[in-house]
Amino acid sequence: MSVAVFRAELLKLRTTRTPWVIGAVAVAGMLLAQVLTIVLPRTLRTLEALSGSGAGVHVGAQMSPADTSELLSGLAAATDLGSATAQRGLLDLMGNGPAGSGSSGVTALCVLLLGALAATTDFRTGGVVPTALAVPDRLRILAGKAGATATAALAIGVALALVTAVGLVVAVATTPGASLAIGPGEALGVWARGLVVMVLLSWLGLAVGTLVRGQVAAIVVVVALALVEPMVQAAALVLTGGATTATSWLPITLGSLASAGQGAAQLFGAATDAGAGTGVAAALAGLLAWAAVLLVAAGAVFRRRDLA
Amino acid sequence: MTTIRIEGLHKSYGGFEAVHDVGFTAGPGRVVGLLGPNGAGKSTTLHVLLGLARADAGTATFDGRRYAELEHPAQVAGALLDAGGLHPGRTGRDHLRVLAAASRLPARRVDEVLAAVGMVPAADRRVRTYSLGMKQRLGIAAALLGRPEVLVLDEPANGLDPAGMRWLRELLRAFADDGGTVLLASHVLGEVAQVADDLVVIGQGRVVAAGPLAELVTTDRSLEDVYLDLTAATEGVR
Repeated sequence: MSVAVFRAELLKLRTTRTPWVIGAVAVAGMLLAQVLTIVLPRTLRTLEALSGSGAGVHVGAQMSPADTSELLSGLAAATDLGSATAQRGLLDLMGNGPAGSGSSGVTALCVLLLGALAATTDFRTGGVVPTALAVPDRLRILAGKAGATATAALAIGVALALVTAVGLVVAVATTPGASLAIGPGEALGVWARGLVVMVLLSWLGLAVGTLVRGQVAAIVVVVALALVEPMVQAAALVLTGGATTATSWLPITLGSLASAGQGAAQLFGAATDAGAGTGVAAALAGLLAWAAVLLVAAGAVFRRRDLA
Repeated sequence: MTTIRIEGLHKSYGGFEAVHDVGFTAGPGRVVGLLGPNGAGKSTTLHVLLGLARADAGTATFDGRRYAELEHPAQVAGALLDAGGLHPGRTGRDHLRVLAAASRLPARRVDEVLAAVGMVPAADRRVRTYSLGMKQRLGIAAALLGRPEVLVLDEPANGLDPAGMRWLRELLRAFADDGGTVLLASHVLGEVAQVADDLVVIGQGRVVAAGPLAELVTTDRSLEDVYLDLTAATEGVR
């Protein structure tokens, strides 16, 4: 990648509002996820207390007070902010939540859009023409865009990491009897995996934008990807009785598994997290493969395409 | 000094033949007007010359090298095509900073070309606030960034006021007089007649006339008369 093209593409991103808006939305989404994660256990405890006191409050109209109390107790345990699992979830840049199931998908969607818009804005405004006049080698342009998009994704990721750090401190400080259950090395590992996933997803968006070219069409594709993938996964699990892990190899799922590190072992059909380390590596490799294949396809098409 | 040479150029889009066996030369010190009706193939010829589109056959070169083979393209050819590829939310100065960075040009060139095209007062406004004439000036500033030896301009007079037209005419004349090569595609025949040394007229993708302006235009036949006669059979959108 040429440093000059990288600098030019980064300047393009810095001098328009859209990437800043995308970053702000990602941070706002993470703030919301942190607040909900911290508030949820207290809400459950309050409901449990009310249920146990016979005050007439029930969660689920069909459940008996005893069952309600048991359910709330179980949920409270699962979201216990003193546990290492919940604290890892708080630090997860992809916002998967303490049990790996609370994802709003905001981070994934933001970095996908960041990449897609980095490509399609040039096509929409015709900015790709002066760029190609300055740099006739199309692959150098794409490489410069990949570098700039990755840098922007990393900058957003660092901001998200700061939010998650504050969230963790607040969670521990405000939870009775809680203390830090994970060490600095593990925290850095969670953040590092999240940053890598964000970069890879931004490249996925860049590749989609380069291939599709139309801005609205590219946005529809990445939003559909973010919305449809969980539905496909749920349908596959229902249809196979949970026997298939094939849909876990879809890109956003791989991103979630790699970032959170929880449940990554399921990629190989394992029921436990014993192979989590291998699973995380496999998830990262799988996501890298998605990004690489799509970027290579985008490069091949971009290189041959008439720009005017 | 650089010579543009186009030989046997063919380019089709699907089944539509946009350019058929086009060939001409534009040399140093000359302003070459490229004329033709809408859809005649002028812009396609320029796009192939600048490496934006692939030719099906033929060559378009700068001193024998294709645009893609130029080591420092901004220092060889500066171009203004269409609306200049401007992002409406970016300032004029930032647009030029991006291009200067991509071409590895010093940042001071941005200030120099802004001054050269009279855009310093508006440089820090967003492009969406510009008039068409101001966008054209910014596009010409981008073309001048690398101190090129060749200017390739597609309808640069669009939106310019009378003072802007005179400024452009003087700029192109001075550029050619300093040994530069200018290839100017335009529909404004009066402007072309005042500044061009040579003409290339294209109709339906083919060169229908080429030569020095003085030989094609006489005292009793204006450029408009000559142009309309040459393109009568090819007028209209194909």
